[in-house]
Amino acid sequence: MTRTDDDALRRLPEHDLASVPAERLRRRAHAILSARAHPRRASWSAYYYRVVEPAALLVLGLSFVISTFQSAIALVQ
Amino acid sequence: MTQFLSRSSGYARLDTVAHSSDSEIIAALARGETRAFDEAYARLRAPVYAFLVRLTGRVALAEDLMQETWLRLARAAPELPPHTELRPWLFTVARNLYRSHRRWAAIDTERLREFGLLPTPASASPFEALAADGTERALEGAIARLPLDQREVLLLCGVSGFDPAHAARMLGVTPEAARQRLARARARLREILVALEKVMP
Repeated sequence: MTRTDDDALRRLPEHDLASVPAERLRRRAHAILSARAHPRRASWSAYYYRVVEPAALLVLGLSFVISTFQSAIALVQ
Repeated sequence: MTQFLSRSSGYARLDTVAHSSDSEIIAALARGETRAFDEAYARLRAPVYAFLVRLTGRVALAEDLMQETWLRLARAAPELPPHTELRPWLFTVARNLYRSHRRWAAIDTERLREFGLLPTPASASPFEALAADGTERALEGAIARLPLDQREVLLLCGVSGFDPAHAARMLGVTPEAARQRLARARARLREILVALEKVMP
């Protein structure tokens, strides 16, 4: 590798992305950023999946464990 | 950022200016400002794209990875540390995405070609056809024929202008390993160029 090669490497042009895919990509990135800048109010479905459903599953699971425990105690007695 | 750069004068201040403008862009991106994205995109789109095309050797794949790289910036902006340098960050993401793609690709055409299972294309690099002269064409072809480890370090240091210590962090190796890899890449590039000169005088 010579100094000439080094210079030639540094001078290699930066061919750019074609304008159509470049614009498409810019719009997609804008959509992501805009969604962050203007977040929509939490909908009922988001509230359901974040709070109601996990709470219901937790209560069901706990009641199953408790009832199993009570049945086991009753059998022993 | 544009205003900031236009105010700067002299090489000594350029580094400080570039850093603070990066942090301004990252802060603005975290707030969801699209203008900040446009500034970064206008400044760094071509270098990142050229790096990806030369790294992958395929325009379609480079476009896919380019898209994922920039969308990651948009998604990751709120979590980025404020002093992140955008240019190395984007190049690192682009390079890691290509590494990841190669790891998971069901059929790696480059390896199939190495084993002689696929015909070698007429031009090794998509940029060969766009070269302005014979030297540029030979150089593009020689870069495309380098092994991946050597190609990525040569593209980062030789073409994109990162210093070996910076490139080492991007590649996840020690600075000494990066320097050795770069030396081997330069030697191999010269060998390929000499061989190409014999074939196409």
